Amino acid sequence: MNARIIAALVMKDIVLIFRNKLFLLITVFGTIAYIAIYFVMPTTVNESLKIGLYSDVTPVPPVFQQLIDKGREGLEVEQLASDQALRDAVDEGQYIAGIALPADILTGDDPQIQLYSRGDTPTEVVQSLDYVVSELAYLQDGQLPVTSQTVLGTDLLGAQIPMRNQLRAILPAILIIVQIFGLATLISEEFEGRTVRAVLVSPANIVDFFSAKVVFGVGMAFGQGLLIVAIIGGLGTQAGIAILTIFLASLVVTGIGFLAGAFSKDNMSAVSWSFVVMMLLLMPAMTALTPGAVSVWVKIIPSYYFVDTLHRAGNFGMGISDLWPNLLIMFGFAAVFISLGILALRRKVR
Amino acid sequence: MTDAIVAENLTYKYGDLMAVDHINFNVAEGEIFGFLGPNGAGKSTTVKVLTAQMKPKEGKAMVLGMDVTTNVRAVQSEIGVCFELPNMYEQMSALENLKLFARLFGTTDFDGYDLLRRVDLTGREKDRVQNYSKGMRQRLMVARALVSKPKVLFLDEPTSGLDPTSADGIRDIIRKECDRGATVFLTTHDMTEAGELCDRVAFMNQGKLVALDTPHNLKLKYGRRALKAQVAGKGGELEDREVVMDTADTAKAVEQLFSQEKVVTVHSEEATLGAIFMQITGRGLQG
Repeated sequence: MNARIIAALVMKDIVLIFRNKLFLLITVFGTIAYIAIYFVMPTTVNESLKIGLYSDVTPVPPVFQQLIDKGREGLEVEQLASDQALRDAVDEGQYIAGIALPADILTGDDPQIQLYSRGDTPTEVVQSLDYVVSELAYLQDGQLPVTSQTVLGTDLLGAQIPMRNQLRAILPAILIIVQIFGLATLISEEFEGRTVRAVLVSPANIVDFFSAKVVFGVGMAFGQGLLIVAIIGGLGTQAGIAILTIFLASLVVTGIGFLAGAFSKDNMSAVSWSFVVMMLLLMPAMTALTPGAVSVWVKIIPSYYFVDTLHRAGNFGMGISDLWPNLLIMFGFAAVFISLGILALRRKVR
Repeated sequence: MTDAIVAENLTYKYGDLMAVDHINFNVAEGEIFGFLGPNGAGKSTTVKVLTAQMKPKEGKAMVLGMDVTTNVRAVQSEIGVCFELPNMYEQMSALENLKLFARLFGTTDFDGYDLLRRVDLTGREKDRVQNYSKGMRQRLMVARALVSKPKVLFLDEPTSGLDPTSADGIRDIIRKECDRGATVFLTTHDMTEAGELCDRVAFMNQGKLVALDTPHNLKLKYGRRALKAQVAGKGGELEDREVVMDTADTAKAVEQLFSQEKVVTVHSEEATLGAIFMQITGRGLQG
C-alpha cells in the first residue's frame, strides 16, 4: 500500500465525481426529496396496529375474545401465552402495545388492566388503546376498569419528538445512501473506459486501487453525513455515537456501491442497480421512526439500524448501553458488505 | 549490450487455448523491437505478460533483469505502456490525466505542457479528453506512456488511426525515445512503419514465434528482389516486364531487356515484410 498513490487516486475520484452531472443532480434531488417526503407524509395512520393480549382468566372474556377473533377497525389483536411473553414481545417491537387482563376482570370491584408499550411508541397510540380497552371492559361487566400503563425499556414520557427532529435521522440517511449511486457509476466508468487497466499497469497495484476507493467512498459518505448532522443539530447529544453510526453507515454504503459497480456492465446499468438498492434502503429507513409499526423484515435492511440509532441517540439521548446492539449489527453489515464488495471488484478486475 | 526484455519458453493459455506457445526472444537495451502478427496471434497476451498484467503459465519473462511475476511494482515503475484502445479519464483534461499518472509514478521533474507539445496537443492542454478526436486521444496515450521517462516503452499500435503527419510525429518521438536510451517494444500492423523504425522484428503466428531478425535480413532471407520495367509495345501501349534478381540468369535477362525492348520506366522492387509474413505463415497480417 502506497500513501502517495492512494492520495493521487482519491483526488482523481473527487475531481471525477463532481464532474458527474447526474450525481450532482441526484445529490440535490436527495435534499429536495427530504422536504417533499415531509409534506407527503400521511397525517393519519390508516394501517392496522398489532396489539398483543394476555388474559389471566380463561376463557378470555367474550368481548376481548371477539376482539381477538374479528379485530376492530385499525386493530389486529393476537393472544399470547403469558404476561412475560407479552412484555417481551412488546419490548422487542413485535407489537406496538400489549394488553394484560387480570384474573379478576370479571369478578373484581376495580380490576386493573395493564397496558404495555415501548418508550418510543407514540402517546396517541397508547391513549387510544386505553380508551378502547376501557370501553370494552365496560361493555363486559358494566363498570369502568382501572388501566395502568407500563413503559417497557427506557421511559421516554414527556420526550415526544417533533417531525423536524425526526428528520434529523432521515436526511443524513438520504445523503449517505445516495453515495451508492456516485460510487457505483464511478467504478463502472473505470471498467467501461478501461482506465483501471491503465492505473494497474502503473506502480499502483490492486491494493492501492481498492484502498483509494474505500477511502473515497467512506470519505464522501462520512463527510457529507457528518456535515448535515452537524448543521441540523444532530451532534448536540451523544455526538460520539452519531459519528460512529455515520462512519459505519459510510462503510456499508461503500461496500454496497462496490457491489453495484461490480455487477454493472456499463454506466446505465450502474445507475439502474444503484436506484434499486437505494430505494430498498431508503424506504425501510423511514419506518424506523415509528418503531411500533415496523415489520420484522425491515430489520434485515442495514439502513434501519442507521436511522434507528441516529434517531434514538440524537432525539432521546440514548447511550451506548442502549444502542450497542444496533452498532454491533451495523459493524457486522459493514464488514460483510465491504468484504463482498472488494471480492466482487477483485473478480471483475481479473 | 544487455537485454532489456527476455522471454524464455514463455507460455500462456486461456483454458485449453494456447495463446502464447513456448516463445523465446530477447530485446537489447535501446533497441526498437517490432512485434508483428495478425489479430489473435498472441501479441497482446505476450505484452500483457511482459507488462506484469498476467502471470505466465510456463516459462519466464524478465524486464530490465527483473522477473515480471515476482517484481510487479518494480517492473511497472520502469515501463510506459500505450494501449491499443484509448483508456484516458474522459472527464479530465489532458493535463490532469498526465499529472495523475506523474503522481502515480512519483515523477518529480514532470512538464505536462512540454509533453503535450511533443505530441502536438499545444493549446488543447486544458480541454477535457471527451472533446478530443480519435487521433488526439491516441497522441495523448503516447504522451501518457512517456510521463515517467520509462526505460522500456510498450507501444501497441501507436499510430493507428492517425493522419500521416501525426503518425510521422509519433514515429519521430519513438526515435527520440530510443536516442534517449529507452527500449521500445512496438506492436504494429503497419509493415512500412515496422521496416522503417525497428532494429529487429518478430513474427507471431498462432501463438508461436515464426521468425525473428532485422527487416533487412528477413528480406534477404525470404524476400525476392525484382527489376520492374515498363516497355513500349508494338502498338505503342505500355507493357510490364519483370526480371527476378539474385539469380544466375539475372545479368543476361537485364541485358536482353535493354537490348531487345524499348524500356520506358524501370525500378527495383524489394519484398515487403507483409509479403514475407504471408510467405512464412501462409496468411496475411490483417487476418
